[in-house]
Amino acid sequence: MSLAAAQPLPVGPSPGRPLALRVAARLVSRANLFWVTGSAILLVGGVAGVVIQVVPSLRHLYLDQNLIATFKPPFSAGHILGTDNLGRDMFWQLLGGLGISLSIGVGVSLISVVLGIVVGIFGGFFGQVADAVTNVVVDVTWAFPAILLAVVFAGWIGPSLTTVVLALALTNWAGFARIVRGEVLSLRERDFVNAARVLGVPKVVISARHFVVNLLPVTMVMIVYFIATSIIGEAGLSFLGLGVQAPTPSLGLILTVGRDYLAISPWMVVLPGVLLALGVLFLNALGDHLRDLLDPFGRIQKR
Amino acid sequence: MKFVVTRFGYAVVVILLASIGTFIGLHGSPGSVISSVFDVATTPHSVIVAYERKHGLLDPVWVQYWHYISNIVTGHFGTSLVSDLPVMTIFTTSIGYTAQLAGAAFLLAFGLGIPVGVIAAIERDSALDRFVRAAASVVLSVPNFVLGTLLVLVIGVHLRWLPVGGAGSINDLILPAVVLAAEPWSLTVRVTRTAFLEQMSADFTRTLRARGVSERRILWRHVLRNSLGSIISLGTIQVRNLLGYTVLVEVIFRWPGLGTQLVNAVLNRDYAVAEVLSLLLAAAVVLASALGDVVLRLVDPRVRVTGEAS
Repeated sequence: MSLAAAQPLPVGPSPGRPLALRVAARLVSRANLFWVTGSAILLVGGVAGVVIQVVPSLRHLYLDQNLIATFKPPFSAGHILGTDNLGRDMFWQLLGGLGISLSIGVGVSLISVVLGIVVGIFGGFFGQVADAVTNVVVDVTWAFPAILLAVVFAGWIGPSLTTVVLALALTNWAGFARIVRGEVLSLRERDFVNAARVLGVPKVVISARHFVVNLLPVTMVMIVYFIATSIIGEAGLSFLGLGVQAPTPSLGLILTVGRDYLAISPWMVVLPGVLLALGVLFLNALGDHLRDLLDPFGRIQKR
Repeated sequence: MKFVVTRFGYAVVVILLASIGTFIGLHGSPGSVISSVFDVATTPHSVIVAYERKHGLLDPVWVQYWHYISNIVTGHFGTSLVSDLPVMTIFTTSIGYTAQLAGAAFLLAFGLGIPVGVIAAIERDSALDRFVRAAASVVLSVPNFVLGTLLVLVIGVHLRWLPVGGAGSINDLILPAVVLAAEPWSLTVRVTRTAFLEQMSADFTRTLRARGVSERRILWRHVLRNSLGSIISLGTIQVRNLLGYTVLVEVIFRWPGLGTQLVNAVLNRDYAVAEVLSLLLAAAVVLASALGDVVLRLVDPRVRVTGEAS
């Protein structure tokens, strides 16, 4: 955002510590403590949320129902955040939902980023025909509003966790492919690329060895933004009933169910809503800090 | 003029390819409309076959695609497989609602976003500016269905100021329009503020100031015109987002627009309706983007130069 804060970080092969470490160090020292601790807490919560679903002996934490203790408000005895319509503990439900959100976010952004890089480099570096073809494909994908494509797609292969990941990834990659293509257009004119080509290095090798490395900063920023938008997308699809199915915990699912009990137990809407908003807020802030570090010239356009 | 023709010609190609995409996407899905119209276990086979023959479901795929495309081009859109209503009727009854909602949100987002962004840029780093930036970040982080549900809870259920769903009076429009406008509003504020700050520190602004041109004239005549490019680009992207998010917002507020119809059609495998509606939405996005490019060229001569060079 602020241009004054933008200082380019040297990119490419460098002496000393690897890029990831340097970025991490800069992020912690420059960003204020609030964002870093917030993101760290979210990450720990998300990992814990995955663990309680993967380890069978822990599943009872969020699955156990208790029909005589439904709709308990937060700070009830034994349930710090209360219980839902089936008497399940809200704290563990939300934690599990956070785990699902984060794993979907990571899965979606990895797929979108790989697809975006491959298609973007293909369009930008493999001749005019390749460029024209990829441009049309990207524009056609881009013609469908993200949620719309996801709705059609989720209706197509039926609602499930995999559906959500595929639907969101298939809508996300096109935007990133555009950014990558733009980057490649300028990278391919650089001397080190010309040198490699004169030496007879195949285009595929140049792409894999030189382009991918130089695209890393942009990619890291984009991954953070993709995780944020995927979390929103997952919750939105689950909210429409097209995403994750019960009893898998999902923030969007808790919200949908909660909507039916708005008057009895507003907590079922407020808690997942606030958690979603906080998660996205932290991720967006993290992405903005990363962008200030890695992309000082504003090449990345958000959404 | 040549640019206008090629740009819109390209848009038509993209729309045509999008039509093949929607057709394959919906026809390739394993479910079938039969199970949402008939109770397959108890219906005689002959009835189902008669139904399939009537709607051309037994034709080869390319014949079905030809019907679909020629229906759209001739503008009578075919009939719904589930309700037997003409798709045209479904479209005309719902487009008005969606246009109302998306239009109101568009006006809110840009009508309130541009001035707020401008003021924040002029008052850079003041308390007001910091407040606006924080507000935009927070609003951007709240997913619209969360915002919608929370507003229903507070304003609809607790305060009882506004209705929580349905469509009819202007009161019904307020909540969904605000919810839909929230995200584009915060993006507009950010983009306007950044663009203005950039232009206000540009060399030409300093020159104008040195020549004694009044601040107001610099701002409204020069800075605004130079910032329009980013704002218009954002506008065309927002058409896509608005049309996409109406799907969610319409479901939350039981708003009988295109999004609601489309979600129902997809869930019922009503190809006839789903294909036409999703293609029309996609066409709107593609045309808005083409229109944006053309307008951008009209207001900003520099785009012409770079456009020709590439």
